[in-house]
Amino acid sequence: MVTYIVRRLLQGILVLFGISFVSFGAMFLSGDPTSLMINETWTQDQIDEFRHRMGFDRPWPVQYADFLSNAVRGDFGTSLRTSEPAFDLVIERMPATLQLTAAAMLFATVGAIPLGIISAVKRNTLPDYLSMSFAILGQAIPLFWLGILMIQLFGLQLKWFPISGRGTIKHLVMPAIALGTFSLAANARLIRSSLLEAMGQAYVVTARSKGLAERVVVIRHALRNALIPVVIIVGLQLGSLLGGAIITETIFAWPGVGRLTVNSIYNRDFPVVQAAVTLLAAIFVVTNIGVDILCAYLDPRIRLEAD
Amino acid sequence: MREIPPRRRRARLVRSLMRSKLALIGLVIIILASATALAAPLLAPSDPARVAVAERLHPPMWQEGGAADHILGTDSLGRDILSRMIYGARVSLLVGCVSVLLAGLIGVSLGLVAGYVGGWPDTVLMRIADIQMAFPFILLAITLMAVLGSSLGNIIFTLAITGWVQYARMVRGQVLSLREKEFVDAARCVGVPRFRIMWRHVLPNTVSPIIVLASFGVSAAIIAEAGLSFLGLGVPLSVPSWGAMLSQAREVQSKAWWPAVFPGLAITATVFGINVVGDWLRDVLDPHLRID
Repeated sequence: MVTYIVRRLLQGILVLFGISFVSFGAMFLSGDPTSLMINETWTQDQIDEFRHRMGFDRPWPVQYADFLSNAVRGDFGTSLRTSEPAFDLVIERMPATLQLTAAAMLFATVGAIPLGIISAVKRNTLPDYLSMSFAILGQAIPLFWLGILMIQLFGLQLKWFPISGRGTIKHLVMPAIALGTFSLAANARLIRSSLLEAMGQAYVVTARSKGLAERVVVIRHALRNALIPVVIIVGLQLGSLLGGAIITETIFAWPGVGRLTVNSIYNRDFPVVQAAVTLLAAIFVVTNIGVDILCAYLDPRIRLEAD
Repeated sequence: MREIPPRRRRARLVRSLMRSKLALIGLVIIILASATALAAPLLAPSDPARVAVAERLHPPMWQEGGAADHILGTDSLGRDILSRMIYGARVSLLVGCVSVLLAGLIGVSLGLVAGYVGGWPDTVLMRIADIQMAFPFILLAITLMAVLGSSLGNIIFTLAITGWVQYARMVRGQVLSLREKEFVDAARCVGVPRFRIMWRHVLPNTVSPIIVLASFGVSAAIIAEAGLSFLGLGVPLSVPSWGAMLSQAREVQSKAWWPAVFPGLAITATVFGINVVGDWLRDVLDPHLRID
């Protein structure tokens, strides 16, 4: 188990290096990073001075080494707009993004369990068809459209929930539903198939034949085993949720890292974009390692293979 | 494994399609959407780019104040929503199909080489794949589009670059197990060259899962394109696209519901159609991946 954890952590460090290289290298894709950040009114002297101040006149390996050693210390330079440290700007908004993502994840998991169970237990009946239709639809609706529809209906027409900003629990409801629906649909389908598979196993037949109530068979025996793949998928969904949060935050004016990233892109404020991209990806890497270690703990086959 | 003659196999596919009502609905949606995209100039009632400020925010024809010259109403610049949706189908399907084709081409070739050759090319490729998988997909796409600038070509490039990994991983995994099969050994023994073994004997056996992945890839790419265009990072604003229509509709959301509802409906219906056909393909082509 220790060997497995150490190996996984080393891999994680390698991936973090790669991430730093990508967020550094992305700016050079256009040829000259200076051209991304200036506007047409600048004189050549101003451009040269800016290029020198940002260090873009040095060879790129030197720039990368510099970027990396600063990034490790949490220094991504200063915002070109507000002159505040880019890292601080991102960290300030991180709690809002994590709150939104966590709420969406909770909604996606808690909502999916009853849907999946009903579907599996009442297989090929009306409740199954209804919940699976809902799941198929939930995977087809783009979250930005769902968000807009909810704003129209529950925000502007019925005035049940505020349509923008962060503060009360009421502010959180619509963004979390918009962001979580896709994952909820995916989870419901996964729980259904996973539960159906478990219900065919010998231990379920045993549980049934010793006269246990069907409810006990499903919840105690089948569901427990069926949830292992679900745990893995829920962990992996964090990546798409963090990505989706960028769009959700833009729709609902949620003051998180995603909205900051999009606004920084509009303002060509690349130090902030780099800091945000690197930190979001780093969170994702760390959670993935956590999920993998949890899997190895739950399923001895994985860690034995690694040892 | 018993060899099934192609003709009987085709008949079996058609029969299974007729049995699955959902897949049939999906197929009809896909055909309708493709036909709309192809015949856009014939179908669109008016020029999608024609701005008529005097006709701004006309409601759909069945609502009070609506008229038959704008069946689904007009947007905040007085442009005909139905015409823009019809032209928007072109962007969505073009981006969806071409980006998946490119991603599949890159991913399948690299996965084939990595799996069959092994050694350092395999290690390097899989580490690159690991790093790319560490980025939330939309985040990577947003970063690339921010740097490259919005254009149809750039968005296809971005989605191809962010999408190849899953094909590479899947094909590599398949190849690793196929490599040990007797028929590959047999080919090797009679002296078939390595490239020919990969092309003639290994690749055909990975086609089913590739088709399944690609079908979900198209719907993911359509949503991603709409999402990026929604953020203003997709196709240029001058090109009518479903995502950009939604983004422009947000500015008038307190005054008019129709600019936001119809384009979203088009995206959802198209993605729904592709997804249910994808589910059906997975059930038919690849029993191992069957959901139930």
